[in-house]
Amino acid sequence: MTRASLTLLLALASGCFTGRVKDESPWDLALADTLEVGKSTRADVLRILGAPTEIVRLRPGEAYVYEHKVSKRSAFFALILATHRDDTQRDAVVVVTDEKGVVSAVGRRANAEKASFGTPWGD
Amino acid sequence: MGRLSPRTTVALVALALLGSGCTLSFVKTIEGDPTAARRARTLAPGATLAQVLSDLGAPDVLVALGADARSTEPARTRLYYVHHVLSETRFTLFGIIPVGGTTLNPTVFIHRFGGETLELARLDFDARGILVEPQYALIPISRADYSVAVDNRLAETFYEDRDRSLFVRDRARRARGDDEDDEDDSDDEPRR
Repeated sequence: MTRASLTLLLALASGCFTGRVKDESPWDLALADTLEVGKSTRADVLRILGAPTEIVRLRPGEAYVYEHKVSKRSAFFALILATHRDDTQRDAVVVVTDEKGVVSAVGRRANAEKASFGTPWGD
Repeated sequence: MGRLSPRTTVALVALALLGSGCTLSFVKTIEGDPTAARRARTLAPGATLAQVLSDLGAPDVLVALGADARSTEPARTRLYYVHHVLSETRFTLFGIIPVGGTTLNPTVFIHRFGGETLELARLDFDARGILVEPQYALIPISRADYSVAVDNRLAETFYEDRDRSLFVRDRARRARGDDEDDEDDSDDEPRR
């Protein structure tokens, strides 16, 4: 088998791909900073942040969960060797209201942009 | 037929492996960030839900325990902060079976070795929003011999709570009539 044929075979039998999967729509995380603990109400939460991903009924009160997830996938394959990496990170906001519908706690996380492509040997 | 040269022998073996269908793959999956889970280790009972959410941010999973008015279990709010890393090498051998006009590729052999690490903090708050039971675990799992180095009951409870949370979320999504595929780039625009 000539070197040119072997090179062509290797080129045809190799490949790579990268992909990105997003779950739920992103939103402006800074909007969560406008909520005030002890003052903002349930109606303010829905007006500012919109419909939540999930509502958890607490006793007492409720928790409104907003989440946006990003998965970045990268793979490389050559003949019988293959590498695959999948990195999933989230943006999330959790707003807890008391039995009167007043915001009692707010937590936010901005990690979606930290998801990265790469190799299985990287961080 | 004379003896095969070493180069020809190697080429034939390689072609045989290619033809039979085998792959040696290196896989790594990462989910979550370890920062919040590690900072949760410093928490002591008495911290409030508002303080914890402000300091650590939104949790990965939030579940309500005993929230049903008919429940006799004390009402609790449970937060999980999770970081999961899977790193393994897989050798897979699969057959090629022509069936009619198509081809089946069943896996006939697979060997994995590597490990995964589950780092999680579980925080339980009472009805007043006071932290009553902080727990932290770093659980390494070896894939080579399927051994679990530490007590994994904390991990099992986490998987149960997460499955329950995801089930509720999927049910709500189906009720809204949302599509499963959210890869439409038009969703890149912020909501507001």
